[in-house]
Amino acid sequence: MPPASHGDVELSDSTTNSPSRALNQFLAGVELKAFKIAQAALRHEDDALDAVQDAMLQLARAYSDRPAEEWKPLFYRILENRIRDMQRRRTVRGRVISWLPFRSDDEDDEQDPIAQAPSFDPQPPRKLEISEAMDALEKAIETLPRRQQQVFMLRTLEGLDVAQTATAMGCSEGSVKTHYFRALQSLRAQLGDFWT
Amino acid sequence: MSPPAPGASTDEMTGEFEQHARALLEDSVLRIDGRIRSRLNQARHAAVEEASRRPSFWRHFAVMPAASAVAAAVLVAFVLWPHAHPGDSIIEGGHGTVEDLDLLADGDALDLVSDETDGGAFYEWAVDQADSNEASSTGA
Repeated sequence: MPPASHGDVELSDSTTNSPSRALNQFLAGVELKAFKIAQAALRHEDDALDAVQDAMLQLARAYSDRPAEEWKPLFYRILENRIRDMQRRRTVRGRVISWLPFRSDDEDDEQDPIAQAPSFDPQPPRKLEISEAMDALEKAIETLPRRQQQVFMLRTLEGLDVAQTATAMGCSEGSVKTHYFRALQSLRAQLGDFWT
Repeated sequence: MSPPAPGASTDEMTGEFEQHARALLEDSVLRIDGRIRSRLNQARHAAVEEASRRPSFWRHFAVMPAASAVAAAVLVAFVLWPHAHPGDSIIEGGHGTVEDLDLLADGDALDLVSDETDGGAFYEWAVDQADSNEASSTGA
């Protein structure tokens, strides 16, 4: 169980018992990575936040009694289902909006906040280099098919093993290996020139 | 956090690529801004509160006494039903089983067998009734 990676919340008396503390530590350990995974899939900050929030609530409601070892794959399974629901809803909404005569162009402008994210302080060359590499990687990840993107993020960023990734994705371990291999091949093909 | 070396083998390059990608992604996680962190913090707090409000599995056992009483009554009825035959009835033959169940379901039934009441008198009366029924049917 990873410790809380950043500022823990002040919990009320009703939540200071051991199971709640364990759940708090677990969620604190995964929430930032979960947000990055959701953001890569949804390409929208607020949607990603909503997806992570829903996944947290669902885990707390339905699975907080389960052993803590099971939480991580369960949490990512819930998150992936939530992401898929939001993507479907977005697809339907996009189709409906495309039929409307008074369609606003603002809808498209909101699609890629990562590319439009402002840089704050002036960056030294090394930091700039990392930032550019990160941008390139994130854009390359966004181009991956959904399942490849999913398996790459779960394995590389979250560090799930093959079995946990299969549980989180609801597929076989063989599928995980195949998707991961293809994701690596695709990313290397895209980023090879940039990284060498 | 250097990119993969150009002269490395495929496996080595893949391994280096993974390490490089992982380092970049972890770095990007560390750069998540305060607004996002704050909202995630609030979401986590809400989830933990939700979990603490959720009734525990063991609280379901609070309903066990009532459920046990009902289950016991059903079990007794089930056990008694097949053994009751019309000929065995001591009161108005043919309806004895139903009446036995009525007695079991009736709270007064407990009084019949308790020490505080004269349960023996009831059973003597019941035997007398059975004998008189038998005599009348034989005489007829």
